[in-house]
Amino acid sequence: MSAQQLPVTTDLDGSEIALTLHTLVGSGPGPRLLLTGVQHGDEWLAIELMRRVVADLEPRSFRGTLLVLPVCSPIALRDIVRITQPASDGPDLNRVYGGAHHWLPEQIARTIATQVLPNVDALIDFHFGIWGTGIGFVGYGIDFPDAHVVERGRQMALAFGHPLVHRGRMASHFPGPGSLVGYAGAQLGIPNMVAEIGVAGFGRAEEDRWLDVNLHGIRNVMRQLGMLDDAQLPPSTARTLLFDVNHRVEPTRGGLLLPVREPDELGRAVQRGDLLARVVSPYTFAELERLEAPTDGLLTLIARSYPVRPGDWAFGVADTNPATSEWLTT
Amino acid sequence: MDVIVGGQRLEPGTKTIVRLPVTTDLDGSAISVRVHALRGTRSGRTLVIVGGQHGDEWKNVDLLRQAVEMLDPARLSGTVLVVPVANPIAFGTGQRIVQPASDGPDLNRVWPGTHTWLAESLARVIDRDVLVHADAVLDCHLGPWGSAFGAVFYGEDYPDPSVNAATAALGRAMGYQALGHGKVVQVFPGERSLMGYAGVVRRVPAVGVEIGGLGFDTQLEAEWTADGLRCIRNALRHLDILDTPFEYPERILRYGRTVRVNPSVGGLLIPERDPDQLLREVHAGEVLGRVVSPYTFEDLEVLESPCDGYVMYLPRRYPVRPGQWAFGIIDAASTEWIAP
Repeated sequence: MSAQQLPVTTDLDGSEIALTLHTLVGSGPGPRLLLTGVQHGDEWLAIELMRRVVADLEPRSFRGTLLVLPVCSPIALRDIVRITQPASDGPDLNRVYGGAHHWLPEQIARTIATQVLPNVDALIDFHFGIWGTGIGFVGYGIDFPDAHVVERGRQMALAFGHPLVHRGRMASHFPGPGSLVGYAGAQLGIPNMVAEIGVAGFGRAEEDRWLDVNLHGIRNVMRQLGMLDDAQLPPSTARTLLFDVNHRVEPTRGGLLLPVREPDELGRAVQRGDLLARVVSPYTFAELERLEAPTDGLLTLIARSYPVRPGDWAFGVADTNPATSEWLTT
Repeated sequence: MDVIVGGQRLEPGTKTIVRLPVTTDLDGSAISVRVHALRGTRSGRTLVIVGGQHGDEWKNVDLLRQAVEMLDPARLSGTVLVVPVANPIAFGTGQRIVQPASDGPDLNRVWPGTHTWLAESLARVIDRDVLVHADAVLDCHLGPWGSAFGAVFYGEDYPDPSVNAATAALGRAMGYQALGHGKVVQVFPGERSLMGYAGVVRRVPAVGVEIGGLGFDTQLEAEWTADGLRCIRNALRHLDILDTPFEYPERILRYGRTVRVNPSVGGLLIPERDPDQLLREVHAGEVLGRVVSPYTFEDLEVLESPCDGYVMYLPRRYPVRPGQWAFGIIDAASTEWIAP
């Protein structure tokens, strides 16, 4: 195992900005899988996940190579903020892959694109809930030009073993062609998936529970890729929902978000009209808004009580309408 | 006797929300401070409770929301004035301070507000319209995301001995399990903090309430909120505003010195115990937590208890920059167990 520094640039404060890439070489030839985290600096729980992966995975136990890039944006992590360079016209690292300018996010993206991605056969990009929120689903792109890349991403996402799988137009819609998965899938033909599983600010036990889901998922994908031989872990659910539509239920007004259930449970079934949370004024304590499930579905986003600005993360509901979703029995 | 807050007369037996205009900001928004005024049906003293001087300590909003809900004006002898968010600008951005480019960005360092910076303007309005009525003040703080605090503390270096005595009595009466005392005027948080100003200039007792934190499990945070509410009821009972019985622990740890054990490097802070326990006994040299590199995962620093003592503040696992909140250890040599 080695940790390699990939220089990016020098910042105004004199600091040398670099990425740290861990390379775990297995016992024999095989696929090269890349794990990426903290493209957004406020999704820092990925660090703990990556730390456990590197600490727990014995290189002799697998074939191929595992590449781990725990922090894609050290600058955003420093300030625990989502974006990397607010004053730039491409502040979000996960929107600027393929960019030609020299803003910090674009230089980081270029470093990853030129020094890491050429050595990769498959990619899992991790995103986590930020302080006060939790997120729980995996996804793969359905709109990459190469159908083979789409199918392999689908297999990875299903192998991960999470009961909620989003079929997304990752390259053409969201997170878009400049996202890491959009760029890797559409431009470089690298099969990939996103794992958006984890809560922050809910206490150690709850957070570790979801870290374990990610750890199991990584091993399951390594098995699917032929990197691990041991038996597949039993599925966490008897059924998997493949869904196209994920409804965000976000506050339109700033205030103190008070969920109806605390802690709520990712994957919980809700019905249209169910009250999920209230937003109250931090000043008058009057109710400002009620957040309700817009459809029947399963929770993909949850929140604990925390202060929100308009549009902040609150709840998400995977639409179980048969026209846009499909149940797979494991 | 009439009680008028911000030009609004408070009727006996009512809860009123008073809006105190402060200024207009660059984005055109009208900045104001809200005061929940609870006037009892009988005359008595006035307790002012202030939260949200630091915008990242937002759990106090919920504590004070529940406090206002808990209190029935019909059962009060006197008045309770609650300012849940003293610094709405800092709260709106989740930051400790407001207007970083000013020379007074921390509201709790600029009382009573001399200049027109935002923080000073907020202090001036709250002082003019709220503190002017106070017979006693509670200044509520707690840990921001990732950390939790557990203490009530009071100052003992006010120029007026009677203020010192009244402050100590109020702090003790609140009945929290850890009771700190120190030089709040000369040392920390200073003469221009709310506690410093209230005691020195307004000559009323002011006690700091630092109970709870953010990012811990639901039940633990609820217990801290319940502790905070209990302390508020005890303060009101002490001031004869409320006639409910005191609710006390068996004993209180009174202490005079806390040592900060905060990281000197940035990284992912991993406590040895998570969740740890406030007031847990620790020994000199005991490992409290580690800071690991988010990049290489190597240990960058080991945080150890510098003395025998008790945990006054603690973290959960979270990323820290140098100096950020980790552990506060009450020096056992500065403690005594007292009866409530």
